[in-house]
Amino acid sequence: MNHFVKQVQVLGILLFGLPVASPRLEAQVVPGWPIGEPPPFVQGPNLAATLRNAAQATAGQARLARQAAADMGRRARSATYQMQNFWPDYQNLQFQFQGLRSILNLLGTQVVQLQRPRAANAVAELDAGLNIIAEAFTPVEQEIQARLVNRDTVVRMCRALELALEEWEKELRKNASRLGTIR
Amino acid sequence: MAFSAGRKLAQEFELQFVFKTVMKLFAGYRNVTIPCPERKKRRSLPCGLASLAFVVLLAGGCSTSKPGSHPSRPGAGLTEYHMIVAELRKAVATSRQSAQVLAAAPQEEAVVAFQHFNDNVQRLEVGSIKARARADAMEKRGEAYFEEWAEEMSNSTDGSSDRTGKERFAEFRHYFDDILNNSKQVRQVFRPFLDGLRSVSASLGEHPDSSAVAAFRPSLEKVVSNGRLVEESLQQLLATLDKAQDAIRSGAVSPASSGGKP
Repeated sequence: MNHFVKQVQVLGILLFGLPVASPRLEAQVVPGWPIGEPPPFVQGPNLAATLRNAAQATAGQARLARQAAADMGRRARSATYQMQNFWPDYQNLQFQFQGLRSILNLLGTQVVQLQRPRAANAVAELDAGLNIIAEAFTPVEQEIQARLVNRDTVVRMCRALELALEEWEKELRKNASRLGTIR
Repeated sequence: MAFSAGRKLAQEFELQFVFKTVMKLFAGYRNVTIPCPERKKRRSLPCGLASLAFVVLLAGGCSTSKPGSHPSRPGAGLTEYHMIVAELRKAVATSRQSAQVLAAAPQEEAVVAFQHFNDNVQRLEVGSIKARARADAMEKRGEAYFEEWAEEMSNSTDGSSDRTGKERFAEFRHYFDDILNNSKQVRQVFRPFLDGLRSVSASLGEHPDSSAVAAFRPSLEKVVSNGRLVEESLQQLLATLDKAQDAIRSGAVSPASSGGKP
């Protein structure tokens, strides 16, 4: 009898434990992210946790992009800065910025599940903010097309990106309540 | 107590891994179960496992409210937009004034005036992002903003009659359309102003001499007149926002009582 009760209790653990554990087991799959690539954030046991993870990953990527702009700007001010230094810096900066857009898009796909206009509006604002910030690349892009990259333009772009991304990070934090990443 | 009872039982069955998994998961859930006073009572249950399972279920139940679903204060979105627009107007005025000073600066003061102008342009570029992003998003998602603001306002419902509620809601709809139109107008005049500022700033480089600054006087004058247009359109937008805020203050606009739509 006692043995039977214990067996029932073990079954209880498995019955209650597995359904709760299952989201964690497939935690590495993030919808909208290419299969095989490491996802930028872990899917949580519920939507709130996933949103928090996505917002944290977005903030982390924004910091990386801002840091890339600051580092490039500092190097570009040096008199010894040459075109061969510019290319890897510029590519890295663009990579980090595109990464930020991708993660924000993913955050947007999670937010859609909330079906709340205020959360979707917040993402739309953040997305529009990145579109505006991306304008900082335009003068340098034009100079690249003309094959005449000016150091002052590069420094200016980096400074503008650094400051703008700092503001953008603040906005992301301020929007935590609208996004549903804090309760 | 519930944990230790559960632990004992799991050890008995040499199923520590199961217990650990459940405990780990429970620890995750514990963060979102603050308002569950029932947890204290579980210590009296004889079976640790049952209590554990129950608490996990209970915790799930306590965390089912949709994230981001808690209401914000009435008119918060409108107030915030008003603040953003007011800040932008201030930044536009400062940039326009510094362009004016630069255009009129005597040769010996031109370099200092340019430095000041340059700093203000950069400040405006960064400071305007929030307002521009908000205006872009509002234009793109118009109706969704109306829903957000209306939802905020429905929190301030004062139990007014259905008819009054409908009237006020229709009135607010009218203000909302005006806000959208005025924002669009601001965007249209802001763009050439900012482009003009950027163009002068970039063309003069980091350390221009006074003769170079003098050569840009006509461009600066154009920038100044564009700046005035932006200030006027921002003033108009602020006036509309003021009216909408007054409408909310004077009596709750109640979309809830009118079925959510005008």
